[in-house]
Amino acid sequence: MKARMLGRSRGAPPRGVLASLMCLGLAAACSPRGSTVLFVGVASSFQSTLREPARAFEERHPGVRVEVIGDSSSRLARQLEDGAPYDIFISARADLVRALHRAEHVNQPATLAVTGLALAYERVAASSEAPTVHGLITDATAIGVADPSVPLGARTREWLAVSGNAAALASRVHSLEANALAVERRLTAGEIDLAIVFTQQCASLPRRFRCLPIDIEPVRYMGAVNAESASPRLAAAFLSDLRDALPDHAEEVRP
Amino acid sequence: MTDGLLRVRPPPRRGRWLSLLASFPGLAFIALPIGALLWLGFSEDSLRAMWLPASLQAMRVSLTVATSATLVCMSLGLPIAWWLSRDPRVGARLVRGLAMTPLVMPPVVAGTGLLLTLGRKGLLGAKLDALGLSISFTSLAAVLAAAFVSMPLIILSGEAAFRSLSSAHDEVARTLGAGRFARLRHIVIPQLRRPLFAATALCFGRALGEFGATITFAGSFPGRTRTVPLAVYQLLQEDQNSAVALSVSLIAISFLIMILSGRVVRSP
Repeated sequence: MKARMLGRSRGAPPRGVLASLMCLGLAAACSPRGSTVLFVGVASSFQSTLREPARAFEERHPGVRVEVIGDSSSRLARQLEDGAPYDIFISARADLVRALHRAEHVNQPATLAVTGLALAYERVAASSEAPTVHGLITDATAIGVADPSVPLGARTREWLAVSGNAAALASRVHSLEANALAVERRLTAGEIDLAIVFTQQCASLPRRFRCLPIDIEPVRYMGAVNAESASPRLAAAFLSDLRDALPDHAEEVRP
Repeated sequence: MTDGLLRVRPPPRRGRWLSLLASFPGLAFIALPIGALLWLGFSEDSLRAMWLPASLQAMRVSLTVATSATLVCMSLGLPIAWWLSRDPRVGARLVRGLAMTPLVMPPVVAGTGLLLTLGRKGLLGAKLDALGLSISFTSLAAVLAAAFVSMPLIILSGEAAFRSLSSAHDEVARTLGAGRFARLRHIVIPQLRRPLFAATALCFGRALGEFGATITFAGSFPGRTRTVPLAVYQLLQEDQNSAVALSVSLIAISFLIMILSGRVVRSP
């Protein structure tokens, strides 16, 4: 009553609304978490390859959920050093995996898959001639490559140094992408007409695209279980299943 | 606070159309990207994607983190705001500058700072780690990251709210015999309610949209630290429909918060 006399106005604020939002948040925090979760930190370029094996593993192990978290290998490795709870780390940078093993952050690493490099391009319906690497490069107007700081970019640079295509490619490079997946996205979005990708990425490209393999030593994807994994046996079992499930991608290119 | 003592002159009607015309490019600049998201977000695929378990899980984490961060900001930020509103003679500029720094700091840098302080090898984190306590890459880390970047908003708005308190009302109530508690309950809190609600809403909205500090200090772990912005970032690499759908839901909540806070501040 006194408050009203002292100027408490009409149109009271909907204080219940924010309180409701907050209650909703707190209630959400209390929702149950039933299953064991296996966190897999994986290089972005390998993320889509893991989708099927992860679902298959979940089916074989009821109550286990596999969460695949894709990012750049160096960031994942740094997070792992800082105590991020990845159960498994998978990367194409063997140097990083070995360094983590030496520092006892991860257990003994293993090679999971081998992948080569390929030129990915959109199929031209009228063309009947078999494309060549040099022909594809000189015909292209915008080419996407990965930054040399990531495995795809480093291997691309090595190939350019020995293949004699560096000059032709240099004037057509659209951008240096942060990772293999970014190169793939530029291609599928139509921002570039030719991309240098890992051969294992060719399988996930839309059907209008084709891949032509490049002759260079393949890249090895290595995986290791986090030494501090909350579920080390399960993580080791997943890695083992992965090795069996993944084909050798070095020569696997869509015809 | 006019309360009949002063009459606020309504804005002049002349030039209203001109001002609307002048503001149109700016409004379009803001509305078009949001409109594009909404346009794509209301497709059948996107609406379906909004109800996927991963989307709902990210929404749950976001609401939890934003709520907790808001509570942290209120408990830590309001005392600073109150102190600043008393015009302290020493250190006010320095404290205000320090308190506002997270507002202009790139969030990734803020996350790095938190990691260097509370991470496993951080200044305090190393000591906590020795005691078996780990903060980085946990849900608590996500809350702290969101609270760190949102805190300036509550300090800024809180200080303005405390300054807006009318001492005249308090004085009148005191002379009429009202005790300290009665004055707090009937004079101070009612006056502070609206501006503090607006401050809280702003803080909640900022915490809801936090990305850079969270991904650096808390990572992107589904069900633990993957909030809606982090889920959108991850989904953009896999499934654009789901990413857009989640973005739309975040826009809807943010828009609601802004409308509500605006309504509260402007209501008589």
